[in-house]
Amino acid sequence: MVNLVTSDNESFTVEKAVASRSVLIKNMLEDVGESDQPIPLPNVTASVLKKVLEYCDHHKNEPMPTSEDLAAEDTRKRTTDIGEWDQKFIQVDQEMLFEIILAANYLDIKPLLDVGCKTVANMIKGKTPEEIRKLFNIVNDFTPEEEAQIKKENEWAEDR
Amino acid sequence: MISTLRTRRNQYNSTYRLPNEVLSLIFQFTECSSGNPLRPLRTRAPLNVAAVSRLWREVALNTPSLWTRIDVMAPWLMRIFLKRSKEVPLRIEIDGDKLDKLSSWAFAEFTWFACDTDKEGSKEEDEDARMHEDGSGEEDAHNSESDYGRAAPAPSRFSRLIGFLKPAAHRWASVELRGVLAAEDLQTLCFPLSSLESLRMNCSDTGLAYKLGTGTVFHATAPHLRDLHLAGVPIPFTSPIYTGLTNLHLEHMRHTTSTISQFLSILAACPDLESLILIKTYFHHLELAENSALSIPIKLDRLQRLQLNRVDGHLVRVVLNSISAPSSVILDLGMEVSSWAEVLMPTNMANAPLVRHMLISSNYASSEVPAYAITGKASEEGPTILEIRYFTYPSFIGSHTPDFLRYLGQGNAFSSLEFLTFNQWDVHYQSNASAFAEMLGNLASLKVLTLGWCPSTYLDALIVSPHHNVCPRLQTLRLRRVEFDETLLKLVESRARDRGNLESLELAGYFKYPCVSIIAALKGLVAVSENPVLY
Repeated sequence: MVNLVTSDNESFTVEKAVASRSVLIKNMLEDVGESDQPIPLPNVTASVLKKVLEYCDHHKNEPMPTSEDLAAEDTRKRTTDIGEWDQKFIQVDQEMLFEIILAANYLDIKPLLDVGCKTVANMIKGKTPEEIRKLFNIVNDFTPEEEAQIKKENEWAEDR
Repeated sequence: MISTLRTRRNQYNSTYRLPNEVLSLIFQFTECSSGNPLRPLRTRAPLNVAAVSRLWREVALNTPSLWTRIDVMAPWLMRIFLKRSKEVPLRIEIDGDKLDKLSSWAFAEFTWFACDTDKEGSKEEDEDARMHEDGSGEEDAHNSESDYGRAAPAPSRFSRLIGFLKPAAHRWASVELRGVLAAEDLQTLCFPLSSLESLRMNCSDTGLAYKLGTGTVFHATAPHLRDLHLAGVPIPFTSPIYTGLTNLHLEHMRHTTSTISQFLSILAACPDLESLILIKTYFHHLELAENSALSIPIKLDRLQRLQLNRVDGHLVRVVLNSISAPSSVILDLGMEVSSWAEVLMPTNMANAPLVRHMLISSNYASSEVPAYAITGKASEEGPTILEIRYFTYPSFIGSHTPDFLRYLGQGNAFSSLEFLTFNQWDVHYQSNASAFAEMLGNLASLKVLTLGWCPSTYLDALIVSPHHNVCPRLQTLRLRRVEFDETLLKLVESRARDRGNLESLELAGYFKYPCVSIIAALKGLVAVSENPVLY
């Protein structure tokens, strides 16, 4: 078993197979060998880690992505399909979605990072810049000159 | 000032907490997979994400793979995409409808840019900015069109577009051309495509084969081409593009000059082939080609799927007899027949020994529904690994009964077949009883036989005699709406108890039993279940 400690000082004791879905934790375990020492995760809160561990537990028996898989990045990006379980898992509010993505990136859990990024990508697809801004509460911060240039650029795309 | 304040406000936004490489990954996912190439460009991701905010624009412009999908769009935009994709492999998608809809001045621009690129090389860096600043490009383009028009006959729209994209030909990783091809268009593609991995071409011009003739129409060398999908574009088999492929899909082809021997040479040149699909592909004089099969089979050890659909039965036989495929291959064989007399039963089906469950069904013949369909599975719940279908032409001549089924399983091909369901739907094209009997003689390992709507004469074939004993391991016989009389009693008597292995008889779908006394006698011989639900 592995003991993980979150940024808000909460402890999680999980199977090694679950924790090792994170390449970061897997490497740490390999580096320190057998140890009872808790592993600190200063960039992850308890509520997010709980969610991440739920994902890791569900996928614990699946083969880890190989270096060949990771090298074939193009193939991975060809689809935004998300598995049925993963779709339900990632149905969270926007704040939690971005927290999960950040945690997956920090913990180096590539499949979870992909699920999060694909979910955000699917939210963006087909939307205009204004609709995207509204969706993510982003403010248009272009200067008038930049705005004019973008407008001109995008005029070419109208009705093509 | 306002802009700076707004940028600061954005820094508290959730998306701004993501590292740039993660935002870049999200952007790449927005421009992949199921995008409809006919979808208006303004609803597609690259331009839109680059117009959200300064940070998003910076990340988008530094994500070359976001800009790699080049389809029919305004020349200036295409130039932007080419520039922003840097040296990343490109996906070229050209749709004939969109090409037709593009304004004529756009094509003048293509020509102008192509010339401009040749002359000025790297000067292109700032041109799109200049264009956006003063909008003068349109006028220039009009002028250049008239200049060009005087110099030579106007090249086709397709060739102008290709001429524009040609400087980046070394980056073309995949090319998809839909409905744009004429013979002269194919001749446009005559330069090295060193990175090309996938080529898909689709043409509805049925006369293209005649226009292509025997000439070498596709001069392009594409040493890395692995996926080739041609629909209605019968590039002669002498072309070097048919080498080293892993996926070959030919559809709606009428090869007027290429021969089946040349086709087999292609297979020999593609030893790593994983998927071979031929749909409605015809060769001249194929019926004379039975001897074209090679004496030493071509080893296709990686073949996972072989689909020969709506083709001549001779092609199926020649291909199967000329290749050596692994038993894990999935076979999908659909043949068109104009009379039962010409129907051929495929042989050398590599996965036949794995088939444990088989369904043979006949349907009311039409050109869309197979008159006969044979499907095989390795397990009841597993996927179909073998399909053999016979489609009839509208001019089908077939009042007499087909007897091709007698050849099914010859040479103990289906050595593992234990479950066979035989559904006879169309009384007009019933298999004859002798063919049925001969077929059962090839299926020695059968344990469960289900007959649905079959003629009662089929039961004769199952009666064991000193000279006739098909399916000696038969344990269960299921009948669904098969008329029976004392023949069934004879059948069961000959197979039950110490004479055979028949243990149970299942009768289903009868509104009324023809002979109650026979049922009673049957019950004395084997377990009889009445009206179970049979599928």
